[in-house]
Amino acid sequence: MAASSKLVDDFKEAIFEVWQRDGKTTWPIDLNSVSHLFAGDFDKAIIEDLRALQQQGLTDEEIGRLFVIPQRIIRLVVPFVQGMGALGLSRDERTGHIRYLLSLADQIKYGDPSNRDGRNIVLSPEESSVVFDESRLSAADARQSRQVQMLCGVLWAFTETFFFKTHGLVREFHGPYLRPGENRQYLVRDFVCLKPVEVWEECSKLRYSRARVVTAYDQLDFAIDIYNHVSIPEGKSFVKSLHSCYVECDGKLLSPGEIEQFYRELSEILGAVNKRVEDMNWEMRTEKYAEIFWYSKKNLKDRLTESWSLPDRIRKKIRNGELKSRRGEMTGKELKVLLRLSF
Amino acid sequence: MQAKAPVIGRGIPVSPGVIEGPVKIVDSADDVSAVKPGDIVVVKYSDPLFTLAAMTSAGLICEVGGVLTHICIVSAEIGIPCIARAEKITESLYDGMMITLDASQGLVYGSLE
Repeated sequence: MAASSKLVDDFKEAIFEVWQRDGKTTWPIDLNSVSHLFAGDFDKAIIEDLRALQQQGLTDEEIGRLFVIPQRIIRLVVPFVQGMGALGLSRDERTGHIRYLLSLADQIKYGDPSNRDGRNIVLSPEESSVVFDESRLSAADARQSRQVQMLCGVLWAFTETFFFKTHGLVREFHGPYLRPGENRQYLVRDFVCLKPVEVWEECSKLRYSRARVVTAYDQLDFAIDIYNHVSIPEGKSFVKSLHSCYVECDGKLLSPGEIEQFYRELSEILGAVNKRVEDMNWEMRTEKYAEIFWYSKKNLKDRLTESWSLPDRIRKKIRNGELKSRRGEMTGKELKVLLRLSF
Repeated sequence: MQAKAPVIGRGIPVSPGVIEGPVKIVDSADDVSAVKPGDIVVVKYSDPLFTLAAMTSAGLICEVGGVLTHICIVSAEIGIPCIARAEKITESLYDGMMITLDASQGLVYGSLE
């Protein structure tokens, strides 16, 4: 496990690199313009939940596992930092909370928590040997290769439609894993919450709750940053480099025909939810954003046998609140200063 | 031929390749379902629904964003040419207009006529 000060320093460096390259996603509403309406309350709530779990005697690893995937913890850190301003905490207190969150991610990951080596290694060698078992992988021709990459694309769009910019809360892309004696790189794309029926009733029609896409690439040389962006060198191609793959949903291996059917279902539900979001005004979109944040810690509340629901007082606060105008794009220097001053 | 065709837009290369085809500007769910294979899809911003349009198309031009814009990442993963941050490109394009997208150079060419 990494030393606690290194955890924070590495996180800052890794986040800085992503922010410099980020595409600034603002669909369906700019999170920066509405987070002041609920982020402070969310921070207070999650701090209380974590304390209550510690008081119940859960270990840090057990608490970390309640977040299901390390990426959920990592993706909560920056919104958490934004909300802490409203709590009037000292810099040391803020750093302490961030350090604890990062240590939880570290507990449930095998590799570097901030992927500073360009690798997001979640599985131990023992766990990965099961995932990359030869008998599960099928050789991919050009058609299958495109089909699998298309499925990954629609799964990504699906989770973004349901969880907005914070879709990283429900997906983990990890790798590159290597097997002894091979140059092949293995990538695992996990989508761990495809049916959040408590937030979007439309998804109840989907047949699977979880999807795992495992792909083995020859000479792709991909890397994964702290936010799970998979990048490849110029001139390389995911489709052309794919050697073999499998798609597993709720423990079942899917045939090409089942992948096709799954793709169609995802596209239809995505379209229905997208239309519903487009019909919402900014207050409704903000309430949904807040609901997504509270839903992201549902497992913590389940463990405490308490309701995960977004409190009514937060809904009222949003309805009576105002949009904050978005600040302009920050320079790299300004970003570094913001990170240094925040925690 | 490309050297003589006028450059009508520029952007950041995201996914390399050169493709010629008709423009389809996508700004709504109806536009998404109207995209045909071979179209070059043009979007003003990244909406997850537009990802479905990109996946049907032969190429993608995004007015905003960068290499980490989600629709651009998906385009790169499925291997279609894509550029981002092609500012105000929709002002120079219309549905059905034939263009050449050189995503390796980040350039959009009009036709010779």
